[in-house]
Amino acid sequence: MIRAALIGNPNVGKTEIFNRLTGLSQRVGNFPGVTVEKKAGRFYHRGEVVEVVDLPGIYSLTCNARDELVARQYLVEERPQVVVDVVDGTSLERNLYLTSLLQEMEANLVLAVNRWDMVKARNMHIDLEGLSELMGCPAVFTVATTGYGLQTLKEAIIQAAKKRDRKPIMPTYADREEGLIKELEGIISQDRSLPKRYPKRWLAIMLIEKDRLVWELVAGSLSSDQVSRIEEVILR
Amino acid sequence: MNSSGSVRGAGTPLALLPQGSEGIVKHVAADAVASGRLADIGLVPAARVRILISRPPGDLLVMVKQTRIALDREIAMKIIVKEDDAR
Repeated sequence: MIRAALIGNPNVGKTEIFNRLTGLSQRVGNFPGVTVEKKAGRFYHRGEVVEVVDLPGIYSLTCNARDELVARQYLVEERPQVVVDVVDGTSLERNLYLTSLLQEMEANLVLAVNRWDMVKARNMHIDLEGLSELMGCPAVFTVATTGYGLQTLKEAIIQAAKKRDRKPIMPTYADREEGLIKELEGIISQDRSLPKRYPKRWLAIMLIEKDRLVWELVAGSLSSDQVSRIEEVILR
Repeated sequence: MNSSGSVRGAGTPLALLPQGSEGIVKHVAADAVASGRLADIGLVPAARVRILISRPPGDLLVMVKQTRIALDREIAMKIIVKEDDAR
């Protein structure tokens, strides 16, 4: 069985994609915050069973909001084989911010560029191939309300689950920050369990962002000497 | 200060812009968690914001990066914008 998760900003049609994929009829509200807890369903395609978890609609992955934390904990602790990021094709600038956070988590991404009908209606143009290349993951046009693109999306999910050797593309920061990230990664690497359980670069970035939960996680695993070295790097 | 009391070039809190006007975010004078949250929803320096609804003392509805966002009036006082009457 393939485990996949659905994620995206609020009001992008994510729950509708989930219902289309799994054949469930979850209640879809036209107000924000419908998906508070995660829901699961499954689909069968070309002899494969895919379990899909619908995560809350969110803008970010901090530990300060409960819905964001639900999504983040699922992604980092359960490590789904494929993460389908549903983006609103009419507002890519906003939507691709969450995508960049997912890249940092080293999620095995598939982009579902939803509301393609609206993109066309507004005479907007999206270079799907270019987007896919830029983000380092497959991208599919979908229209959740009609089911357009859903078969292609199912296919892309299964292909992505089989191809885990893809070299992920992720955001790079200014030289100074990249230097700090490298140093922190070096300290984290000395731990026996942390690098096996979480992407080192993601832990390092979260430490620089002073994320409370990642700090507790790292501090609880490393020696007090290593923790003070981390503090020294972060406060520099 | 009234809602149209902004000085050109100087910053005005978003909460004081009149309904229907537009502004460009200059900076956010809030703590790190609140600023981070505002950045996550698109309220970053240089972002263009349109005030869809603002009837003091009620909260605000704004349009930023093609999405409508409801803002607490108190937090909207901490978002400093430059009024933009170019359009």
